[in-house]
Amino acid sequence: MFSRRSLIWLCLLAAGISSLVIATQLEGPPRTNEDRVRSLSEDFACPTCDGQSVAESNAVVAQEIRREIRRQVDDGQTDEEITEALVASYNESIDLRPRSGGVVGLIWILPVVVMVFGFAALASVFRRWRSTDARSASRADIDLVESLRRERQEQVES
Amino acid sequence: MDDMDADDVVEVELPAGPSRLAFFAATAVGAVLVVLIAVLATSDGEAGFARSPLISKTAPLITGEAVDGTTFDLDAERGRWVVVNFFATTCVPCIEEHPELVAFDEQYSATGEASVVSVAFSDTASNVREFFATNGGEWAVLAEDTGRHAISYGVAAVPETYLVAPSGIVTTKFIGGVTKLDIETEIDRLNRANSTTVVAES
Amino acid sequence: MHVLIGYGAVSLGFAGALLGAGTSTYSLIKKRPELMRAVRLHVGLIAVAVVIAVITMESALLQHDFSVKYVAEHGRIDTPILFTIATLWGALEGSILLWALILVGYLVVVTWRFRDRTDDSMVGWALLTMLIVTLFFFGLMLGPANPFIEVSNPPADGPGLNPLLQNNAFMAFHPPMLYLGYVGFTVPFAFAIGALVTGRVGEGWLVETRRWTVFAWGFLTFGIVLGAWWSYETLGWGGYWAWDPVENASFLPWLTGTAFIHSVMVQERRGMLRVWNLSLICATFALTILGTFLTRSGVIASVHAFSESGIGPLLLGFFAVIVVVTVGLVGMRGDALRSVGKIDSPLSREGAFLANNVVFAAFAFVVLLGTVWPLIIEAINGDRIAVGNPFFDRMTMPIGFVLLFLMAMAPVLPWRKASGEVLSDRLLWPAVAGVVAMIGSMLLGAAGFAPVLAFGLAGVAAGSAVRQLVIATKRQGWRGLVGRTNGGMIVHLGVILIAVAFAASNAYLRQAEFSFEEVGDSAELAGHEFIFRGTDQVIAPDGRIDNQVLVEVDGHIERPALTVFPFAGRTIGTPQTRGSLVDDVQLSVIPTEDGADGAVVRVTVQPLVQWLWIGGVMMAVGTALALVPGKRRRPTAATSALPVESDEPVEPPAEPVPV
Repeated sequence: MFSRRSLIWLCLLAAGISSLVIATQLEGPPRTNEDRVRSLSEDFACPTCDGQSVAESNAVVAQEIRREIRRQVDDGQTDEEITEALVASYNESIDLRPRSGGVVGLIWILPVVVMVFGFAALASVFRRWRSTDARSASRADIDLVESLRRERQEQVES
Repeated sequence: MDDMDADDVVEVELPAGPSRLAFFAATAVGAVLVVLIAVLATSDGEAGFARSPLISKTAPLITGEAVDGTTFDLDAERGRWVVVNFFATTCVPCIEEHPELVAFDEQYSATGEASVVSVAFSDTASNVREFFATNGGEWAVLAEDTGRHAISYGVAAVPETYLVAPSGIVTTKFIGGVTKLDIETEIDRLNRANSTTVVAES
Repeated sequence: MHVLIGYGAVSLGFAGALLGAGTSTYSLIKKRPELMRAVRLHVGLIAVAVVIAVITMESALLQHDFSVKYVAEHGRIDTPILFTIATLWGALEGSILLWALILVGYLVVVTWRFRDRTDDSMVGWALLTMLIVTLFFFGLMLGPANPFIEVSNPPADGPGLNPLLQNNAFMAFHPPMLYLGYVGFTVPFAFAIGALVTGRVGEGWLVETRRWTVFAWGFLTFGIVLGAWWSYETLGWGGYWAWDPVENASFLPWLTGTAFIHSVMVQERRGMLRVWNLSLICATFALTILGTFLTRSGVIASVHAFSESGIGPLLLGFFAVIVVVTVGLVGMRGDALRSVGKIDSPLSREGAFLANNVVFAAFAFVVLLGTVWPLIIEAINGDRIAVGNPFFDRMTMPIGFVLLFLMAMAPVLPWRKASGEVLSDRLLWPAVAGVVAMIGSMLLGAAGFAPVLAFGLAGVAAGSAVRQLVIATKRQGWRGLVGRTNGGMIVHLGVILIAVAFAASNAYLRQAEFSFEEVGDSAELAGHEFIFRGTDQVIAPDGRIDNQVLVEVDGHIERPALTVFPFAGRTIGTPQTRGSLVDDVQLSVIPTEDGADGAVVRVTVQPLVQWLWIGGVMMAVGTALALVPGKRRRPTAATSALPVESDEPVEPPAEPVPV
């Protein structure tokens, strides 16, 4: 009942989806404290550098902050606790993730709004183009009309 | 037949949309860009770490062994003004402000109104001892394991000085080198402005 | 002497540009096309002027003539020769001079190529546009960005370049390549303006400038890749892209430029998407000016930025003018920009390219938003915030997936309409490739939804691209590798390599800081062994002091160092990278307090980083192949896409489409 082609596609789809599911379940190498330090460091700005994160910068204060993050990670603090502590010492500018609340949080929403709008516009444009499916005359049609007109002309003249 | 007159062809219904769409899209984009330009034109581009969230809050703990062997605890200093100074022996503004701190300490620690504590940032104890031996200064200096103190105060670069009121709360942050006059003026101002105690919000 | 000649040359160039712009304006407005011929001479004059100016500056740099302020501020007697030559673009004023040189270069070639068509008003307006841009940049050099200022008491020696710029030879190559790209987009932009003003908004201007656009795009792409490579090798934190404002400034025009080179194929073939194409090329050019503004105005802090200067407001003003003019022109010409045809089905190549435009536009929006958000927030409520990697990574990841998907679909989609049959035929092997890629990557240790999905999509996209190449080479032999479509497929393969490398290196990065105390101490990370072998100190001929830490990595000694530049008063890190096709190991020395005998070394291990650079080279090669002219054919007429009678799906032609 299913053609061979559809069967192959079904297998491919199944293989693809199951691979993804397995990938989600698989654990990579265990996440060490150092890994946590690295990923946290990317979330904080170095206070004296031009926009670099604590992970990127080699400035003294960046190293100290990394050391502090490492201390807190080793102590077992959660990501939120570490963030709060740093923000309490410096101020919100140190957190490179724009906070969710208020005007600042708009940055997370605006792109989504724009993308949704973009795709909606795309979809409506496609739909509009498909419905006004007016066709231009084909050559055959034009020839036919021309020959009929000639016939009519001859009729009128005769 | 290659020529087709306009009359011979069936009228094609072109949607009236595209040209108006172009205009509206262009205007919308243009408006956004105008806003962007306005924002860019009025910006002054500076980092935002001058504002400290510690102001009006209880000063973070500073405890540890000073370079002269005594133990220091910030809590023990309650009842007088404390000048918490973060420095490094190699930083030029720190070297320049040092005599000011020496003068301040000489005048006020005698009366017990204020005390000074220096916290070295990313420096060694031996460097610090040598620095104080050469340049004077008889107050507590912490040099070991001081990174965490600096971070808890939100130090971005040295020198930075924090003024802690007798009640234990942080009142002021000085960025860059301080002078004796700066500190005195600030203490005076705070004393006059708030004869009531400055309330701690923790 | 140098100052006199140099400033004189700049003034001459300015005068030439003024003459040329004035003559063109008069000729075009008064409809006297014969006057345009004189403009060729004016262009020649500007060319002579800019060459003299550049030679003068290089001569001043190489002779260490410290009476020139630019040399006094950035030159140094002991700087190695390569960097002395590169000092031309190492600081702000010189970078404007380089921009002017490349711009005039393009202007000369355009004038020469169109020398017999100066009475065509579209060409005339295009030349006028380019001359106005040239006038602007020369104007900058006459005033706020003047490289030829005299110093009354020339010092005996200068401080030299910023040490970060002298630590790697990439410095000599990245800026010129990048500028060849940036500035190159002036040409299609100028012709777009010409088309808009004359009303000839059909396909003519596109076809004329196609090669220029691809050429500029190729250099911009390669310039960006070189920049990432340079940053990776020099900064030593293991990253190659930080979504830094300067990096974004170069990436934004690349995004709109890439959308443009794809979207023009739809206009050439079917006369559609005219508004998109005009908007995209104008946006690309405007973004190059905006980018120049961001990197030189100090408005947004960045480690890659030039020093602050007074040209910021001027560049912003120029950007504003460009925006107003192009938006006005596009709005005005709205009527003439109506499509000749229409898209029959979203499942078609036109549909894919239209979706491509939308996605790239969204991508550009996100990047621009993230870059200027701190400024917007500051304008609204005075707070100073920062937006970094976390935002960009999270926002651009889904966009990346969509783009990989489009890359997989578009080469197999026929024009006009696709049927399920056709698609299932053509996508079969690519789909197999995708599944194989996913399973293969997991067997090699990959895990996690996002990376594996990325590998899968990359596999499908690679399959589509290879399929096209195989078909083309089977039919045409070696010619199946050149030409727009085939070269484009090779570029796609390069992009896929970069996408895979990006996914893998971000997802599977490992980093650690090791404190070595005694020689012989060892550590291990991600399958590599590190043994501390002591320290060393090397003093280079130019005076820098390399304090090296010797680390044996898997049997080979690497020497990351802390390099002291006593003449600049700075110490920077000199990381070492050991790359292989499998992974990169980067070592970077962390400064510690004096007195320690050992060393602290930061080690970063990332898989597949070399694939980034290989992918970049592949993109450059693919672009070059795409520029190889095909067999001579008539250019496609806009009405070539007459409606088709039958309901059968349309096969793409066996050979690449003409033009």
